[in-house]
Amino acid sequence: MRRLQGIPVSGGSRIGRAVHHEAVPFAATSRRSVAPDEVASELERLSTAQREADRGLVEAQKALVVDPKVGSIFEVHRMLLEAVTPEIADAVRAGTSAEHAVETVLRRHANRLAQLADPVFAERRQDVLDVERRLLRALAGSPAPRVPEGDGRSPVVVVAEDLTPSETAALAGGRVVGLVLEHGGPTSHTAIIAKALGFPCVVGVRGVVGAVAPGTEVWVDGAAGVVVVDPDSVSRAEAERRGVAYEAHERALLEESHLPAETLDGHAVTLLANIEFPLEVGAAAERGAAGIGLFRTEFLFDPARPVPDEEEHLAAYRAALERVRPGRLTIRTFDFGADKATPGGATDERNPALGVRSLRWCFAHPDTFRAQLRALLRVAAEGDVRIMLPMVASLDDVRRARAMLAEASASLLREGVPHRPDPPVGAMIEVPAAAVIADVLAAEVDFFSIGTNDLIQYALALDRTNEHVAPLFRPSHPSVLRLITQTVRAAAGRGIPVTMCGEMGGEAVYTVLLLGMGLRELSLTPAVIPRVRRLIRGLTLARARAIAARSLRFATADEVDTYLHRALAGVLAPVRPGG
Amino acid sequence: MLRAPSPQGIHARPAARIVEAARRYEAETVLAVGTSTARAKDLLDVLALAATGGVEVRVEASGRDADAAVAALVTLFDVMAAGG
Repeated sequence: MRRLQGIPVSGGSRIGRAVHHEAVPFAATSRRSVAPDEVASELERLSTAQREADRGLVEAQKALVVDPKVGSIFEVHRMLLEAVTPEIADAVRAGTSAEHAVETVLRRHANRLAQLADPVFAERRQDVLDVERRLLRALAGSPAPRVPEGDGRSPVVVVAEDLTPSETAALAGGRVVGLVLEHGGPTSHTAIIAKALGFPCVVGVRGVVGAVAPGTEVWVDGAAGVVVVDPDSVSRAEAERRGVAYEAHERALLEESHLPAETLDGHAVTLLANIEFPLEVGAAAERGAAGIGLFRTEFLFDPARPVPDEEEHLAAYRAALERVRPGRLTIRTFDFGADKATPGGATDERNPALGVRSLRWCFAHPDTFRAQLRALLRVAAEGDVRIMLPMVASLDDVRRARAMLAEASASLLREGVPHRPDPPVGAMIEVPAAAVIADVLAAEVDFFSIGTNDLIQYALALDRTNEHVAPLFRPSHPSVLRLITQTVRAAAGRGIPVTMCGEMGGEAVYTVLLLGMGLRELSLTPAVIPRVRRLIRGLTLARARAIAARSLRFATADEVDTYLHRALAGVLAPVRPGG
Repeated sequence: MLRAPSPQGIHARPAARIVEAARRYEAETVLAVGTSTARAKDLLDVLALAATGGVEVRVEASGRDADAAVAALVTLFDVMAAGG
């Protein structure tokens, strides 16, 4: 028995027989150059191969559509493919064979990336090599990589130096129960795909290919990042126990998705999802989200066409609404960063976080905003659509946006376009000023949504992406808790709903605190919904209230956090794997 | 001066978007981080810049529609900074 330590990538504990992954062989041509009169036909071959490779990528993207982050990896591969094609074609025009041109161009780029010090960038080398293999395979007319079979009976643990994202994706649906890589980092696309496929994966295991002969039994403990070669009976029992516990935990969490998110003393909590693409509605629904509490619209912005038109907005909103009906769809208007779009880039905002961003950006780009507002009013006629304004800092912001909505409605009416003139309009509470005047705002909006990431940044005057101050970014800072309390009270005073769509709502200790503070609607990343549901179902609101009351009396974030973790130890155990 | 989107910087997808934007213009656009430069129309060049989240990125363009090309990139950086 031998134990190897690596970097954990995805959880689970499985035993299988090792299969060494070998690159798919393809009949590579040895020809390095072509005669001038062959260039045209060689270019034709290249272009056919490029189309074929692209088609394969589109299919890979579709197959992994469950996770849009994974799908986008293949989108990047498509762009890489497109990016290198002219360069390859140039090499062919200079008399190089298509295969040799592909190899030369892509190897050069891969090597250049491999030399980068930052691992996140160096790992992109794999993406380039993946595109290379795909192109070479297409040129050779070779079939797509097959799922490793091992001996055809036992579960398989794939052991390799490294895998490309495509090779990893191809492991789906077969006998593979685990993946161990000698190289690779936790942020590689390969790692992301392994996670999405749901089997344990450990990367960065030095010497594993040499240490594990094909057919050897291997235990992959994904959570610990440990690989045990030839496990003894004690280890096997432990592997089994951990695997069962992990799977039971994951399955049980998902199986509870149809259960109401209700506390033990009968108080219902509405769990909604934050999404970026219409596609993600599916993942949210599977986890029992009652609707979408935050649909980000920035993805609509395509640099190729600076202004998405009304129809593009409408198509995206409809696509999401169709999937979410009868649940609600809360659409946030454009939330772009600081506007430095001055020709020549001469004028620069000294402090973009405090500059022309979000709603201010929209007001500064009225035509872009108008197209969005018109589309929102139109889609609002077709279901429960709510409009959410980001970065509201004053009542003037709300009034100005409402005036533009009224204008948009009037123009639609004149044109005879069906729409809902008065959909619910809410303000995001993410600027401390808005929280402080929440009572004033509550009189003129239909709902609040608390965005904690920005609220904390502005309240504490710190940027959490700045590593020097990131540790000071504390959701439990008493000032933040007071701003939230004030907002919840103001909403209650006017009888309008208040949602929290920040990350804070999904962090277990804070979920309890927030419920105790009066929040009844949380909008979360789909992945954390099952955990939050279970947490809520194991809790009484009375307890949460007592915990919140006590938390609000502390003077520092440390005091709050220490107290929460101690008070909630018993409540948190059931939402941890293996617990 | 722009900043690479946080936390991951100009990794694959942002790089692809930058290239897509730059190619819409005739101008030759160059991104610079410290002393390294990259042609904005070349995806692999942009990736090799290894611009991590938050680092300063300079944009320069030359050619007929240089101003428009720079403006498009600046807007794109804003969008990415906002998570779009």
